[in-house]
Amino acid sequence: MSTQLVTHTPDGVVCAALQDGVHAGKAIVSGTSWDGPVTNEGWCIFDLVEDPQAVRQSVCQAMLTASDISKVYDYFAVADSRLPSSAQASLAATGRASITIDQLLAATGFAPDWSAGLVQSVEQEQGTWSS
Amino acid sequence: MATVTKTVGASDSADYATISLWYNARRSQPSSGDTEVCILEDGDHDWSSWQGGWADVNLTIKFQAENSHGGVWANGARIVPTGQMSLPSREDDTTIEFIDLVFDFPAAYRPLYLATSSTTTSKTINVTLTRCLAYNASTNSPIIRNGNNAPGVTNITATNCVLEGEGGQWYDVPYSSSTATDSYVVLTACTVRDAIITLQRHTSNSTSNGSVVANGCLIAIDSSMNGGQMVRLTANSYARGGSSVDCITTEAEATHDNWADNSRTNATYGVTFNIDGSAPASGEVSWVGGSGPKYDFSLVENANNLAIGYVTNATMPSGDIEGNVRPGSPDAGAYQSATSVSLTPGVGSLTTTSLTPSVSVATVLTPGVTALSITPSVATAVVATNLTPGLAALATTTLAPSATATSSVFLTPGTVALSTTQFVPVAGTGHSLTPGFAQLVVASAEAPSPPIVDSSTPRSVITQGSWSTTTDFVAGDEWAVTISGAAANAPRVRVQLIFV
Repeated sequence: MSTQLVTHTPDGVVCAALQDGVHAGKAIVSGTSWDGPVTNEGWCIFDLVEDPQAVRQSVCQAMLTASDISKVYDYFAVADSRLPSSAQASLAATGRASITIDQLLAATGFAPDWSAGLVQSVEQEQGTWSS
Repeated sequence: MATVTKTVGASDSADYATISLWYNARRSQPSSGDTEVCILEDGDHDWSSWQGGWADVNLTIKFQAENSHGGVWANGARIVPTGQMSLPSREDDTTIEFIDLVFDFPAAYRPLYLATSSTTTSKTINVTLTRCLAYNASTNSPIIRNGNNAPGVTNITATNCVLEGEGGQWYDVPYSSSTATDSYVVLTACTVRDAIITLQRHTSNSTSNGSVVANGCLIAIDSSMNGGQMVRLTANSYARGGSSVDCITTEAEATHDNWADNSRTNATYGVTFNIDGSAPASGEVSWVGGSGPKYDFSLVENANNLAIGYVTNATMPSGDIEGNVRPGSPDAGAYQSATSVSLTPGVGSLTTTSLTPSVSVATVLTPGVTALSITPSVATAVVATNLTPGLAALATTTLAPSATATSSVFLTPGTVALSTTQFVPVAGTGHSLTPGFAQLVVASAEAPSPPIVDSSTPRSVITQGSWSTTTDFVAGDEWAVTISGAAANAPRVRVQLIFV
């Protein structure tokens, strides 16, 4: 089961990690085809072969000292400029690109106003911080 | 003052799949006074989202179910969070509304968290819940947490809601000792079971005021939870302005008055609440219950149920949590029963002028006792008629001679028509004239026999005839009698038919 990682400009903040086959919404993807091109509003979709839990844990372990947290969205952002040129070209053409988890991790940073310490604080308060 | 409405859900027609996607699409769009409406489709929704990026303007955010849950926990749009929904840095007035939603919270920290960055900018925050079912499994974290460190007012309003918990608070303020906002909670037509309001979380906080007003509510708090008191207060609590009107509670009088600021009207204390659907004893309250948690808090329909028709002072909403209309003396709590709605015995009449019954149309009638007044229609029955054998007199006044007789003794030759409608039918079988004997009596006629008599005295000429074939008559048939001979001058003609 693969993942659609949805980000939003201008900062590339991750907004959702949807399972393969889930429609992101007609305001994001045209028509009723969940894997169609992205429409407007500054959205990008990255298609990864790993499932949402694996993507979340990979990002978490790369960015934090935790093994898992409650979510991958809100806290992190993907810088398109650090993606391979082929992915950038695909984004420019259709608003979505297939990338590997390593390519994702290479382009991932914290979203504005977030840091490792703040994420840890929020997740620990929720009881969703797994060491 | 624009209102922008978007739909969130799993269907292909939804604008966004998740609340977080909706927020990121809309966060920079509002202008001051705008309303952002998030319509939630049926199903579970995760409100976990860091919503610190809303345009900092006076803003209303409305989360509304696309369909009503109908008072059932498993139905409609359900908030089942994996994390908190946080609006951490609001500096302008904010209203957040929740309508027709189900909150199903786990035993973990998953609240709507409200806070500010500035500690000096006064602001008003309103959070309203309308026709919501809210269950909080946590014993120490709320559904709504107010961490507003700036002066101003936070109004928390719940109407027609069920607030069920396990002893934890569903709303708490202040979050920290530095929280400065005043906080006012108003519950109207709510059912509260083991759910607490914490007006002061930190004993060291003495900078904010708070109160709870309850109107027409059912309040059941287990004695093991906050001493059986719905509102948690501390040494620095300022529960001023609170009141209770038309409420039924498990609380002791002193406990209830502690948060109601000694201002209560028509409150009943120390009441036993049954959650097993049993019939209540006089003065008790019984809920339908079922398996819990997330019980069915509709009222057991029983005249002993104290909640039924209890509200006499408070202004209640026109409908209940399911949309059922509340009568003049409504029930306390979120659910309106049917028991309190009584019909006066008697005869009711319905105007049927708009009804057009037809045998070819299936008519669905609402079950119930209804007196219908139906105007009989004109029906044409086919009645078997017989002509009674015997003597029938035929009116002859319409017979007129067709020509003027040359002599008063002559009848005008020609044909006269006799209508059988003049016969009086009787019930029986068949429509036939029985073959028999007919006799025609002519007052004057030209006939060889008897001889013509020229006289002012009426004369009689009797002719006789018969037929042998049964003849069926229907309405409108005529029997023609031919009178031949010389013209007469307006003789009287008498016709007799004799049927044997």
